[in-house]
Amino acid sequence: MTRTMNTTAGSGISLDYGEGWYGEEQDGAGPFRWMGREARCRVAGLGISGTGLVRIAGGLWRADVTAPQLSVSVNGMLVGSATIGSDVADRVFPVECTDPLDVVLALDRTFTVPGDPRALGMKVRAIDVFSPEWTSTSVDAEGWYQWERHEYFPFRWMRAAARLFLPPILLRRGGFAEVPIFTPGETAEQVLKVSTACRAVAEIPLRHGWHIYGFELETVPPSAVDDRTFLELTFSLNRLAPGSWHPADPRELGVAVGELDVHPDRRRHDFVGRFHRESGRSQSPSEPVATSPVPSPHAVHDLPIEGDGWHAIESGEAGRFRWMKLEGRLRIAAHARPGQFCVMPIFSAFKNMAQELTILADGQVVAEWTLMKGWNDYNLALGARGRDVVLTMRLKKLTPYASHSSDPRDLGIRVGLLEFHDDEERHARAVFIQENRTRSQRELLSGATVLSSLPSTLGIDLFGKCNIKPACVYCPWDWMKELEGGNTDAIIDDRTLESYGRLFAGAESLVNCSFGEPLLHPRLEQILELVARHRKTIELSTNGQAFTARTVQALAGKPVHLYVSLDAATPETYARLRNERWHEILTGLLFLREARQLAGGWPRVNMVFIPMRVNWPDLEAYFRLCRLVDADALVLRPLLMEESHVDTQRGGYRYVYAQEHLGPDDLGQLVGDCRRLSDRYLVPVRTQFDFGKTDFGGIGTSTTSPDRG
Amino acid sequence: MGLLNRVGVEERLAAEELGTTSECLCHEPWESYYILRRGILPCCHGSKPIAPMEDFERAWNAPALQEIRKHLARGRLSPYCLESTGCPIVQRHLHAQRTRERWLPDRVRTLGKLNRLLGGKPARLYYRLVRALS
Repeated sequence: MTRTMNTTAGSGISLDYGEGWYGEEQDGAGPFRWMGREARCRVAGLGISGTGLVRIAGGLWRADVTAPQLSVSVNGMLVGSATIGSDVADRVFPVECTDPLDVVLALDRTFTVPGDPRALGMKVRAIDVFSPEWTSTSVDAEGWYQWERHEYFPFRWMRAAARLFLPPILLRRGGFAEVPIFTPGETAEQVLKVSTACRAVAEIPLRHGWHIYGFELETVPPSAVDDRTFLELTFSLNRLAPGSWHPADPRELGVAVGELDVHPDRRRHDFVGRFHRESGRSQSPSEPVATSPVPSPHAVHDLPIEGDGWHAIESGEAGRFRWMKLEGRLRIAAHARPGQFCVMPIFSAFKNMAQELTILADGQVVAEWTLMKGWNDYNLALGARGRDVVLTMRLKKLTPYASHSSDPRDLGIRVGLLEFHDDEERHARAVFIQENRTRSQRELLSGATVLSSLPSTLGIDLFGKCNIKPACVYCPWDWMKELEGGNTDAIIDDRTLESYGRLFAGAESLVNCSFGEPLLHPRLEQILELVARHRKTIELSTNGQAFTARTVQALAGKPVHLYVSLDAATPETYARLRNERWHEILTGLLFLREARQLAGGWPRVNMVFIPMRVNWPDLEAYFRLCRLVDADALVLRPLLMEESHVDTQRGGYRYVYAQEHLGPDDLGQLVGDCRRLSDRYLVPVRTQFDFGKTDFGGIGTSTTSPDRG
Repeated sequence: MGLLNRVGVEERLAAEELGTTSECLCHEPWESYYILRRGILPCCHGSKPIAPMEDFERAWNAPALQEIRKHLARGRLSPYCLESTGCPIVQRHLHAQRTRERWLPDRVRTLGKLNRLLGGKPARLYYRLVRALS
């Protein structure tokens, strides 16, 4: 029965049972003892002082017995009493700690059962003593069920009301508490009240699903926290979870609550609060506020077409568009043109740049564009505002019918919704990029080896240091640092990127390829702002262990494609690949999820999974994790460097690089699994097995499942 | 036209018109460029730097990069690419090569066997043809 002492208590603590106890027994939930009307025990070797806690985990086993009253005395002083229910529950009593502690449990009645001559009082499963000096996590009192192992982090169900105690060690960390809570009910249907003994701390309308909630603790500076007492918090709900949600579970369930953490970061606290306030106003929690990192203030829902050169409006991956026939006209009214520059997204099916588009305004040719395959933005200067403009768009040819045999229409190009602006600098940059892209495609098609064009993707190396030490098990860290030589500590920031001149100007996207954690960069905010200002996108791969208030706020709303490298969906697998910090990553990802919902879905989050023997069993759980954190996609990334000789022991697992590789047959099977799981969990899958550009065993770069509702 | 369509000629012509019949092995050296601490790389899977980081302006058209482009434009992987075994394209190429070598019989040995089976006639015909042409 000695689950007893807090695990930080150290050795040398003893629990001696005195009078009033029956022998130790065992049931499905573990060992226990019956006590009679009164039972005594002595806890010795604590070596502590201050106001500690004694927690009795006990109950009756028969619901038909009249509930007895339990009184608890410590060192001859009555410390509290409680009514004992039929199920085993925790009851916590503050006590002045001495060494030893003499504990007396007294009941006002006992009962007997046929065939057992004993006078039974209460079934006691554990007696715990918590000292303010060495307890480092919150202590559950009444109102909680047992901890359960959620797939990703531990939690326990709360009843309608519950109490817990925060130890001084936790309180000294800061003035803000943060806790993940799950409610199955509708958003704002359940409200959680948090209070201390003296005052109400927070009243939180809960949102459906798992979310992070924060509240400010009593305004005591961490330095002034009383080292000798616990802070008592009471949680109460206005209503329980609907019974229809858990028909097979007869318990009284309120909400599921994860582990409470305390931090000093007011910015993070404000951010979490703002998320709940603002998202509470939107109709659906999963509905993004906007779909672009820099949403246009003049968004329209259709093209201003004129004449019969167009087909009906449609929707696709890139948004709404119309197919144009060989010639189409647009009438852009003065009032609908809030800027002199127009961005026109156009899709062409021609890969050989054989498609050309001529645009006339009032009979004058204003643009002649050679179109590239796929969706590309084209930029047009329309001249001064204040008058209607009629654009006549003429194509050189139609898309061959045989390439769209199931669609008998005349199909020329797709034209997306127009965007107008007045920013000359932006227009000049966009034209530069557009011309460079065209030149680049021509040079590629002609097989040119000396190029006048510039790369459209620029690889950069933002930060050379990492917070995972030792490095991830498959990372060639030492080798890379050797190759970097003196450049490992070189500062590369927003100013460096600008110093790349035309290479930076011509790039449409930046890809960070650091052997280091980019979110640790001290000028992360400035770098992302530069990228957003230039309307480029940036890909950042992160290990997920740096989602702080600073980094999440820097990322929120920025045109970032974030690749979160976890490769695992359980703490065990994660420990085999990296370290033991799994739980904080989950909290960070939930925090990031809230920030993205506020910021129109940006950054986009891609959860990276490098298929290996060690993590293959986690694949399905990884899909569920992607759902939980609302990832935009699961990305399969290959394990590189075939010749690596890594052979190491981590997390109780021997990781041999050469043996972790999956062969083509295994990969084929894995891709099949991914296709099935993608459909089941509605998580799109992308692969980087071929730079993400070509199809791999049926899973392409685009989504494999419909847009998530 | 119906018959043509049945044998896929129309689709083939359409693909040719759209320019989708031929696919370059890899576009990276035309479209991407990596200025990294360990040096300049033509792609993220590049095995070794082609120039030091500081030479980012010049290296875009450096002879090493031109060589890579030249090979790819001819539908081949360059020696540099073949050394970059972390590249998925190279991995697939090497895997295919290994598979071919395992399953396909040695060409010279097979032709020799065939020639012997036919009494040496193919070889005599071949040399006669070569002499006539020369």
